[in-house]
Amino acid sequence: MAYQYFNPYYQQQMPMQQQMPQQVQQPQIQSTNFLTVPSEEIARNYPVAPGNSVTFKNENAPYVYSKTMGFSQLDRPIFEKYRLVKEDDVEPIKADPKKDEDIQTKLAEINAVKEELESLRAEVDELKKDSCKILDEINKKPSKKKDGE
Amino acid sequence: MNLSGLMNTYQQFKANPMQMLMQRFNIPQNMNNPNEILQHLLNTGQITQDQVNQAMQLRNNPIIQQMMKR
Repeated sequence: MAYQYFNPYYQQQMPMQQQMPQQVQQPQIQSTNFLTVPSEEIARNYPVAPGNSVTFKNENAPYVYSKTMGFSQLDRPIFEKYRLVKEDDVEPIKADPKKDEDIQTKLAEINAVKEELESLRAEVDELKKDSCKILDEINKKPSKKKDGE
Repeated sequence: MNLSGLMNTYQQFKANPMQMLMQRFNIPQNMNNPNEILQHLLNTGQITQDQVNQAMQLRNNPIIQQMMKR
């Protein structure tokens, strides 16, 4: 980590920086690697420099903590607690060309059956219409005979 | 620092190491907690976060802990 010297006269330099807006740089919180701690209390009481953030890993429990100090010494430190959750390794489903071919042939079969069904439905509809016509004719004929009589 | 100054500092450290260090680093007298002292040193820019981290890791080292007990 780069050495960052804490300047106690930081706030007095601010007006000079405001006069030169092209050189204004936002101060960034410096962070370190994980530090192992035996308990949360030790992480909470760990000394952190102003403008720094320290991340802790609890060696006895699945927790990660971070303690961040603002640039002003008057700021209260921000302590955050995270719980570690293990994710099982789930292998992604690999594409199987044989299975894809099987699916395609089955889909083609289903489509052929559907087409056949549609044509049969049309035939049945035509037959229904014909039968209705015949029935109408049969019904009309006796009445004509009766009228003729 | 000349030789007499160095000797004077050493004598002060030998007589009362805590008081000498407290004076040397301008630590307020009411500070007794090591973490509080470290925080003060960090706030005043006398030490860096890296130095604190290294010291804390050393303190947790079992070999160092054994040496401190002696």
